[in-house]
Order: sequence, then structure tokens, then C-alpha cells
Amino acid sequence: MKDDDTLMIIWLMFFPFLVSTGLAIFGNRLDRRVQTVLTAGMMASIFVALLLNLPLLDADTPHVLPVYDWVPAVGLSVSLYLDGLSLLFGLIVSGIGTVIFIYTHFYFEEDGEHTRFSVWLSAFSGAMLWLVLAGNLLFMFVMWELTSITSFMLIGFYGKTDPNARASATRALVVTGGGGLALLGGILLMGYVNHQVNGVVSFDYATLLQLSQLEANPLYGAILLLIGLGAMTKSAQFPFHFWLPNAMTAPTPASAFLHSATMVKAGVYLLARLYPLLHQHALWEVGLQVVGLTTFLVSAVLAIKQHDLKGLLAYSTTAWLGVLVALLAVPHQAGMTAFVMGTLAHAFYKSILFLCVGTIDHSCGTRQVDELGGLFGRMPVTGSLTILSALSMAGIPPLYGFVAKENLLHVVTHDWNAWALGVVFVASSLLVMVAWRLIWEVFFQPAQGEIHYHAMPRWTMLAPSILAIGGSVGMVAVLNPVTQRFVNLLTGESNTLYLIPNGGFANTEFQLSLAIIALGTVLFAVRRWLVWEWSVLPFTGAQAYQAVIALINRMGEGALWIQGGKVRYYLVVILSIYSALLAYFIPTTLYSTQALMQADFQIDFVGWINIALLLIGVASVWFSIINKRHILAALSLGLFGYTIGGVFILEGAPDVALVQFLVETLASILLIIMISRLPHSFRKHIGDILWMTSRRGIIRDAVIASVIGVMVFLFAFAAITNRPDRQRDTIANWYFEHTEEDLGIQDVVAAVVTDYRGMDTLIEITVFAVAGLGILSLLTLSREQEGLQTEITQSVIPLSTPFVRVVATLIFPFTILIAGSQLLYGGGITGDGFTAGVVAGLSVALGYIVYGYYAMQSEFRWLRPTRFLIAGLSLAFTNAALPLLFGKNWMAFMEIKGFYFAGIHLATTLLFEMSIALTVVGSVGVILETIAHPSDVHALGEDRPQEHHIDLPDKLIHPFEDRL
Amino acid sequence: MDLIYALAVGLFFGLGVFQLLRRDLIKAAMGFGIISTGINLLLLAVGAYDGKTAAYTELAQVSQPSDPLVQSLILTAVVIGFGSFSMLLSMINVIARRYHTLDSDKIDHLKG
Repeated sequence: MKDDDTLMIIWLMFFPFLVSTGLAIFGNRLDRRVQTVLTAGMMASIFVALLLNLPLLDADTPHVLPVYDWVPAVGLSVSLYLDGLSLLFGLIVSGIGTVIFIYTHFYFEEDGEHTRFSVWLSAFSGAMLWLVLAGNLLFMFVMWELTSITSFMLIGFYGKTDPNARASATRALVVTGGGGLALLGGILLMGYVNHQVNGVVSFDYATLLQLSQLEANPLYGAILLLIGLGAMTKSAQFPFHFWLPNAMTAPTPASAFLHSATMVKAGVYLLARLYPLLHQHALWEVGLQVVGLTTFLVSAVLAIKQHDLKGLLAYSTTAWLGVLVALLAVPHQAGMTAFVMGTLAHAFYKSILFLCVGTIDHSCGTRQVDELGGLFGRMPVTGSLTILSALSMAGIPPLYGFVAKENLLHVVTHDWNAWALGVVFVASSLLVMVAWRLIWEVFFQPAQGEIHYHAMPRWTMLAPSILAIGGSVGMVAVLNPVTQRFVNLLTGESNTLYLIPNGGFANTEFQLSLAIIALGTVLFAVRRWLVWEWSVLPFTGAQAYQAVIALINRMGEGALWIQGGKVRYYLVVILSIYSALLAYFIPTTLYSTQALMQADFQIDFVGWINIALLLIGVASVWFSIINKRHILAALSLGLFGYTIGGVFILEGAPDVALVQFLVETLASILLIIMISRLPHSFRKHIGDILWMTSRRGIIRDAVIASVIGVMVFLFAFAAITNRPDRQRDTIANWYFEHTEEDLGIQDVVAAVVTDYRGMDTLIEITVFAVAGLGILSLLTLSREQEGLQTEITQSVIPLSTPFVRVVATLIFPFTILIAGSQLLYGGGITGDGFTAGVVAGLSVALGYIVYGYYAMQSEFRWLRPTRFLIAGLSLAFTNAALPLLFGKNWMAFMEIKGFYFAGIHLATTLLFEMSIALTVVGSVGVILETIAHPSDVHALGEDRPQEHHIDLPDKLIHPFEDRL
Repeated sequence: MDLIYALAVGLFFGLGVFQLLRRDLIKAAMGFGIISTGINLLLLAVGAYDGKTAAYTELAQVSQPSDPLVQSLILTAVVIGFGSFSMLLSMINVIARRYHTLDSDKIDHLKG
């Protein structure tokens, strides 16, 4: 095994995600054939790459390829773990995936649907491959959840038009997602035990599977239960089996791939993966056997009642998943052998069946058994493939299904009791009957009514044919020795698999097998006498699910009953609970006498100025509370913001102060614009009743506010007195020592914002952009819903006198200049990309106030805030990813050494500042443009006396023009 | 100064909560603004040391600079605070238009 080959696998494993993203962006411009070559090609190459890795199996230990240490602190890493089990599942996923993508090519009639489907299916393939090949349990979990999400998208593929699809998708997500949470709990407990025993935080299989004697640990029961719940929900085990048949609303290729061959096997994969750790306990043996066999029986009974072909296949799938779970209960190698054979056989025959049913559904427009019949003459290829696979499902020799069933029967007769034998016997016979029904009722029984048949492209059946050839024929020639090697490696012993039993008719398993076929045939013959419309269980799983959902709804109603409709008092509840918690914790834990002794009670000259500022702040807050008039309250609130800005200056934080001043200005402008947009009558009314609530109500509010204020004071005092020790190594000291050397700039705050905590900033501007877009969509939607006419009217703000316009025009270039200088020299002076953005944003605000909405829109066509926003965010993320090209980390610092032009230092931090500025000015612009939209004024201004109707100016009125 | 800052933060928080509890939605939004500014002040006060000068590497040699870590946290908080404040205002705008009132007690679609 050369290193190049293993490296290639790692690259290939990221391909599905890349292809998915690529198709999502460019898919509509790509020819369908190109898409299929991409998707099927990537799966095929992964398949080949995995095949090339088969020689690894000869080694005694699994081959681990580390990829990336993601979060070492919690033991989360990305790696590939290649052993028999992961390769088996990896080959199934990539092999069947290739075929599914080929089938998909012919399945969809619309190109758009095909692209959308390929996007999700590629993403799923990537997640599924990582799920089975990952070498870290925690990373496996991430991918586990990703498969649930992609499965949700695929089940709800037609959700736009089909409410049933939406409900099914939600149900599947709730069940598998809920199980996923349980699984996470189990995984974490396992990591905890691992930490206790080995003293390392790691979820790598390589260390985790070395845990011995886990069954003796007191946490074993909880681990098994939680992980079992995760596996049971994912693999649709009773009583969580109901989501799978509902999931058949997905397009058939997805059903074949996700809900039969791969995703639903994730649960059994996990159980098999953790088998060495967990299986030596009676709880495992009994639990898995009972769950598995119950699922087998219930699903087999439910399967024969189905009239929908896909439903029938879905129940036979859950039945077989039950068998696989039960086989893992067996404590020695015979169970594992049967498990591997069963997994392989089922993956082959069931996906062929699904693809054939998809073709039938497409060609006939229905998949109800009752409406179909006599199709063999019309669809000989589909018919032959279906028959072949159905025979395999029934376990007819010498097909693959027969081999699997022989192994199952071997386990049943040697290891299990009579009950288990009975269950397997009956349930298997029922599956034989299902197979006969499938063959007879669809292809040979004369049709009940007219079938509107239209043929699908001839090449549609290429995909299932490949599978059939690969599976049924290949099994005999190639796969058998290979699977034997898998099995031997998995179990540590050598086994012989057989196609024709050794002893012929003297062999118990063979006799049982024949008896099962016979019973199934009899059941099929008397099927008319079996009453269809009876119920197996007192209630169906779906009903149980509905009941749980209804219960949650009722609990929600109970919560609503507590909430009396006065929204503001919900807040009181929340804050009171926090206050109570604080009251409990503060005296006991937060106050240390030592820290109190060190508290700084001295007040110097600057301190007195501070106190004066804070007093003005308190006074202005007080004024904003008692004043009825909103505009005045808003202005005094602005004053409060400025005083805090003053405190920031005195405390030696000029960067923060600058931002505080700018943002406070912007917020005040926004608040005033918003207030002026609201009808006068609303405001007058609410102002009138401000103090008209009962005196008791005001006293109550005051008491609540005081209690919370006191609690916050206590908390703040505790926090301040417990500050980090100034003499010791603080992060701040580290920053001071390293900033100049690392980044070549003076301003430590700028260094922290753009580099040390750059990721924070990146997220921050993203959030800011999202807030801007959120406001845009919120207000625009509301406008559209109310059907407001955007008649060309505009309230002229009295401020817009010619003089003001002159001043504004003069100010504009200066603001841009200031913004530019802050941007370029942020490392050396106060101010940074953010303040630059806000300054530029303020000049935009000035423009809206002075020139008005339409003039801004018509004259500054290029000033589309969304463009700035997109440019800023793209630049930010490109800049963050740029170092990756040079082999450095995400957001690593890079510079052009020795390049100083006019004091400008060319580095990634500068680009980052630029992107921040662009995003902020874009977002501020979006917010202002949305809020300043004149339709609001028109709609709400019914009682605004000052409103003038003016003609829309063709172009901006220049400040000097109206003098002429 | 420690005590003064703690007092100021507690006072701003209490007044902010009182403002938040008004029936008037615009006043409630103002209360939100007061509280977030109070929190920013607290963040500044819990910095590792009281600054006499700005956090520049040069100035750090000669005098006691302010803690750059809390400052960068405040920068982020101020920006996000502004984003959520404007979001809040536009929600109030939509609510006022839909219910034709600014009185939060009249808006009872959440009532059980």
C-alpha cells in the first residue's frame, strides 16, 4: 500500500461535498449528462479506491489515516479507519451509490428536479461514507446527524406540493434526530468512561475499542440503552419502525439508496462497530435479540398487508433490519458471518427491487398492487430483474438471499431457542409470500383495469442490471472469497460459506429453508382467505407518534395557560428565576473575602469625571423613562450612550468609545426615523396611557426592577472584585507582548479583533449582515402582505433646506476620506474597519435624510447596499480561506514583507478590515434603505399634517440648482 | 471605582428592566438598549486592569494600558447590539402596523 493511494482516498472522500456544493451553485447551467458523470464518477472512483485498499485487510490491525485534528480538546478528530467492517459498508455505499446516480439520470423528467436531487444525494453520499469510514466516534456522530438531515430533505423532496411528504419528512427527522440525541449521550458517556480508565480525552476508535471490561462498568447499562436507542431509531427497529414506510414519499432512487441499502443500515453498522466493546453482557444478547426478532415478525406481518409496492418493500426492509440486529446478539462468529452475508445480500436485492418498482411506478403511473398486473410482456427486463431479486429475497437457491438465509438458520438452530426459531420460521415464510405476491400480482396476474403505460428510456434499467450482475453473478465468482475474508477478519476465526450445503438434504438448515419456502407458497395460495383488514397491534406506530406530538402540544397549551397574554410579564418570569439563582449562588460562591480586600475603592480625579458622566447617564436614562414623548426619550437615550462613550475614553478605550459614539448616533437616527414612521395617533395614545396604569402596577414593576437591579449589582461587584490577578499572566499581557512581533501593528485591540479573535469578528459581521437582510425581508414582506401601494409620494423632511444640502454635499467626501483613513491606518490609530463602515453608513443616512428616498435611489444607482454586503462577506471569507492555499491555517496571518507604502502595511488583516467595512456599510445601507422606504410613510401617515405631495425629481436636486 | 461601576451597572440594569416592562413597545425597545449598554460597561469593568492609556504596544511601556481583550469583546457586543436593536425596531414597526397599536398588552395572540 503506497501512501499516494491512501492520500487519494482522503481527497476523494471530500468530493461528494464539493460536488454537492458545486451542483447547488452551477447545477442549472450544467448539462444533465455532465452532472451524472460527476456524481456517478465520484462514487465509482471512491469504490475503486476502497477496492485498492482491500489488501490492508491482511494486516492484523486496522489501518488508521489521520486527516485533521479538529477539536483536540474534546477528542474530536477527522480520520479514516479502514478495517473489514468499514470497508464492507464503504464498498456498499459507494458501489450502490454509483448505480443509483446512473439510475437517477433517467428517473427525473425535469432537469431542475434532477439537479436538486443530485445536490442532496451527493451530500448524503458524502455524509454516509464518512459515517462508515470515520475513525472517530464523535465525528461519526456529526455525519450521522448529517445523514438524518439530508434524508429529511430527500423524503420531503416533493414537500412543496405534497403535505404528506412534509409530514413524513418531519416524522423521520423527529424520530432519527431524537435517537441521535440519545446516541450522543451514549457516546459522551463512553468517552467519560474512557477518560476515567485511560486518562485521555479521545473518541478515536483506536483508543476507544481498547477499553476492556466495559460491561463491568456501572455506566454500561446507560451506555447500551442510549446507543441502542440511537441505533434502533436509525435502523427503524420496533417500536420506531413506523417512520421508514412513511419515508417512501421520497423519490425512488433515494428510497433505494437511503432507506434500504445504506442509511437505515447505519444503526446496525454502529452496533457492529461497537460489538467488541459491548457484546459481552446478557443485556446486549437478550435486548438485541428481542428487539430484532420482534421487528422481524411485526414488519413481516405488516408487509403482507401492504398494497403499495414501495410500502411492501419498506416493511420487508425493516423486517430484514430486525434480523441483522438480532444476529448481532449472537456472542460468537456465526452471528457475525450471518450478519455480513445478510447485509450484503439485502443491499443488493432490495436496491434492485426498489429501482424496478421505481420504473414500474414511473411507467404505469401507479404502484398500487391492485391496479397493476400482466406487466411481464411489456417490461421483460424489469420483470426479469424483479423476479430474480424477489427470488433472492425469498431465499431460493442458488441466489445470494439463500446463502444469507442459510447462515441465519444456522444461527437459529445452533444458538437460539424454540421461540426464536418459531419467529424466524413464520416471519421468513411471510417474506416468501411477499416475494410471490410481488412476482405474480405485478407481472402475471391479469390487470384489473386499464394501465396507462408509457415506457421509460431504454437505458433506465442499466443501473439495476449492473447491480444484478455485480451482485448475483459476482457473488459466486468473486465476492464470496472476499466476504469470507471480511468475515474472518471481523470474527477472528476462519469460516466456510457455502452455496450448496455440505450434507445436501441431510442438512437441517437446508430442510428448514425448504419448509419455509413451502409454507410461504401455501400462504400465498390461500391469501384470499387471509383477511387483509385486521390490525396487528392495538395501535400503529404512527398513531403512537401522533399521540406523543399531541401530548407535547397539550403541554405547550398548558404553558400558554400560565402566560396571561401580557408579553412583558413573560420577561419578569425569566428574570426572576435568574435573580433567584443569583441570590442563591452569589453569597456562597462569588464573594471571596480576599478579593474584596483587594477591591479598589479609591477615586482619583479621573474617577470623579467618570462619576459625573455616569450621573449624567443615569439622569438621561431616567428622563427617557419618565418622558411621554418618544422623540425626546430617544434623544436622551442617545445622550446616555454618549456618556458611556465618554467613560470608555477615560478608561483608555478609544476604539470602543469611537464605535460607541458612532453606533449610538446611528441607533438614535434609526430610532427617530422609526418613531416618525409610526402614526401619530398610536404614539399619542400610548403616551397618554403611559402613567395611567394603576399605581400598584407601577410599584410592582419598580419592585421587580429594583430586585433585578440589586442582583445585577451584587453580581457585577463580585465579577469586578474577582478580576484576573493583574500581576499574573493574563491573556492581555500576552497580547501586549506578541502583537507587534506577530502582526507588526501597534493597536492591540485592532490586532485582537482582526487576528487573535478574528473568527469572532467574522461571525459578528455575518450576524450583522443577517440582521440587515432580516430587517429587509421582514419589512418588505409585511409591506407586500398588506398590499400597500407604493404610490409616489414623499414626505419632505423640513430639514432639507438648500443650506443643509450644501453642507451635506460638502460633508460627504470628508466622511469617505475619514472612513478610508480609518480603514488603512487602523493598526496604528484609533478606528478600524468597523468604524470606517459606520462612518460611511452615516453619510448614507445623511443622504436619505437630506435628499430623500427617491433622489437617493435614482441618483446613486450604483449604491446598492446589498452589493456592498455581498462583496464584503465574500471578501471576508475568501480572505479567511486564502492562507489555506499557502498551506497555512484558516485565517492565518499573511503579509507582504517589507512593503510599506504611505504607512500602509499590506496584510491579510488589512483585507479583513476592508471586508468588515464593506459589510457594515452594506448592512447599514440595507437597514436604512428599508426603513426609509416611503411606502411606510404613505401607509401610516393618514394623520400626518405636514405631508406634502411632490413630483418625483428626475434627478438629484443639486444644492445650487434651486437657487437659480 | 470598583464599587461605583458595580453600582452604575446595577442601576442601569434596574432602570432598563423597568423601561422594558412598559406597555409601550418603543419604550420597551429603549429598555433593551439601556440594558445592553449597561452590560458593555460591566464588560469593561471586569477587564484585567484599569487602563490609564489606550491599549497600544508603545504606550504599554510607559503607562498602564487598558485590557484589550474586554475591549474587543465590547466591540463585538456593540455591533451585535445594534443589529438586534434595529431588528427589534423593525419588528415593532411590523407589529404596530398589523395590530394598529403600540400597546403590548393589546397584542395577545400569544395568550393561552
